[in-house]
Amino acid sequence: MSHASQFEHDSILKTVNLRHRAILQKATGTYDTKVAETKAKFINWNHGREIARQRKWEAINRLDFYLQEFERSTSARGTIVHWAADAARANEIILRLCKARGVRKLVKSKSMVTEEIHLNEFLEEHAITPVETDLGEYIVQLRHETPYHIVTPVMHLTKEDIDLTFHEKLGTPTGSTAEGLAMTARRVLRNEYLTADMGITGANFIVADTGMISITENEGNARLCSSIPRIHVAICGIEKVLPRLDDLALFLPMLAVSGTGQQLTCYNTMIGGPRQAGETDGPEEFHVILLDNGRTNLLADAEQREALHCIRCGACLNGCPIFKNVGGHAYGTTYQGPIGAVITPHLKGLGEWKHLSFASSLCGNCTDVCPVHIDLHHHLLQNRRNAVSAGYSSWIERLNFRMWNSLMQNESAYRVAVVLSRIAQKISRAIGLEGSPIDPVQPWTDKRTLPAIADKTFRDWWDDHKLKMKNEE
Amino acid sequence: MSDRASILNRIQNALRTPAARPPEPSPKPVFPPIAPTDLVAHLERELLALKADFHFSSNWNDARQWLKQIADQHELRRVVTSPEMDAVEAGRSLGARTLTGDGDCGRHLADLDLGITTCDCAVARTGSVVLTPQSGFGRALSVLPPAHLVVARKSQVVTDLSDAYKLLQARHGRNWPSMITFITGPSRTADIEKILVLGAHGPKKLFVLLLDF
Ligand code: SF4
Repeated sequence: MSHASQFEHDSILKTVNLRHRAILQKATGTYDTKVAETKAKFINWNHGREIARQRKWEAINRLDFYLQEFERSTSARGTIVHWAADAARANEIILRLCKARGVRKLVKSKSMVTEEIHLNEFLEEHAITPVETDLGEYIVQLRHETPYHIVTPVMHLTKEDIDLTFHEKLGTPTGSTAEGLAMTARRVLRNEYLTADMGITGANFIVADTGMISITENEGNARLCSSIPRIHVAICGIEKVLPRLDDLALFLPMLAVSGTGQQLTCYNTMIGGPRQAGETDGPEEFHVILLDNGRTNLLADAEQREALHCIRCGACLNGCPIFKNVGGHAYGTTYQGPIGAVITPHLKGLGEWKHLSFASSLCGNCTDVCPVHIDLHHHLLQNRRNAVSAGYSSWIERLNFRMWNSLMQNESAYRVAVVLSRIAQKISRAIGLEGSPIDPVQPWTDKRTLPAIADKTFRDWWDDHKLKMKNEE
Repeated sequence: MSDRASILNRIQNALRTPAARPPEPSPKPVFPPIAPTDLVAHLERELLALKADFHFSSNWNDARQWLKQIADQHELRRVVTSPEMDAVEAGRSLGARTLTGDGDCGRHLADLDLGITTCDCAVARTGSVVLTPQSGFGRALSVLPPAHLVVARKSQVVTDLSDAYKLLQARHGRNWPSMITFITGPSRTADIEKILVLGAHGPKKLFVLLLDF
């Protein structure tokens, strides 16, 4: 099945699933309340967005300069910087490192980039055990699923679902509270940190001037992954760059507010090297892998370049009416929601992934909630336009639009068409054709109710109205 | 061509077409001001909202009483402390073992009840304490044990994250430590149905003792 048909199939299943919808509504409802509370602590949220947008613009539009600055300053403290053009290269770098250092088991904190490159599957194929330590990701791993949401991996599950998963996979008794479940994970994973040979993390930001990566988390698992094992590897998309350390003073709160409705996430940790002389612990080796994997395609599109400003907060997912109906898994991508729809065609091909840009009401809420003010809904339109001009539309669609185009430019033809449609609709309703399988517009009316075509067009009404006004004078 | 060269090449080619620069934002403040006299109260409010424990002391006697009380209440028996003066002094009343940094940090801190550290500064706006491997005595002491006590001085309280970064820059800018961490409350998760659970992987309890004398 093509990605587009798969998407359609999965979305229909999810949309009619009322349990799924209720879970999602509860989660996004809680999120909305918390975001409103913490946004109120800014005197000027929108002003913060504009500053953030400016800083990211600066970083992305001088990306080569800032990446090299990062490399220079972090290498001076002993960090080993690797560059990976694609997923295969990134995986290969990690595998080589694991083999050279005799790593059999590694602990991982939450990282969407490692999902993007399918690192876990790759390592398992090579007899290396990756253990996810973020609670949500741990649950996802136990269930052999993919994360449902870039920030909230198990947004689609209830406590009972997770209770059952733990019971089946870990043999714990059923009936646990959320706290009980979290404590089970804590207990199980504690030992993993202490016995793993390597810790792998992502990065929320790359700080160019001081040569650090910054990791945002609530649980402390990323701190443990980067403190206890003897090797720490951070994998980062090249777009994560910020020019200066001080930029974090704005970006950390903005990420926290938009991501989870917190004023600041529990742990924000900047790491700029392995254990230094005079420090009492920490890994002996620190590696940073800078990953391209299609990001430079997006960079080359000046019109949509700003999609690289994304800080992966998930706000556009939570605020998207499509996401709230079809859910995260239907997208079939690592990055879901509006930002996923915008960037996936650049990362994986427009022909295969254009359909996501059409699955939008273009309400523009994604643009409104985005903390770095990416013009998301216009980028969806641009993807649509690009898909058509690249010839990815079907001949029937092209024919329809050509007809529509000529009709709209010819007044008398348009008037005739309106009258004909009105009559056709009346007949269709009278004989019960509408909505039946042989109705020619059935694919459209299948999921929507077509309103009755008005007996009088607006123009006719307007002409009559003007006449009436004149008579009254 | 190496991946490095090819990526840099692709970036440079891509950037040949310029993207429209967004309008310059005005230098208006983003956060409301906090009066200097309100700093400590603000810090306390934030910490309590985060479900951390906070105590303000103007002498060691008072501090020791509070420490004894929390130790009893939370059964903090196996306690270690960083060798910095304030931490050692606080640890004394809890029978803490003072770490030497010679092979007793990292994973060796797994079976404890409480770790005591100092900090580089505390941020009133967000209720955060800021640690480096110097003030936190490595990386593990403030995250591996199930409880963490931070001993800070009133003079270390700053208003905003940007003040914290300025201070860090002044103190470490020539020779950055390998890690800086902003700790904002005890470890938490809301992954399951958005229900808040404390002590996900890091400390379940965070105590902040602020000294003013
Ligand atoms: S596009 Fe904006 S709102 Fe969406 S995840 Fe990225 S930063 Fe957040």
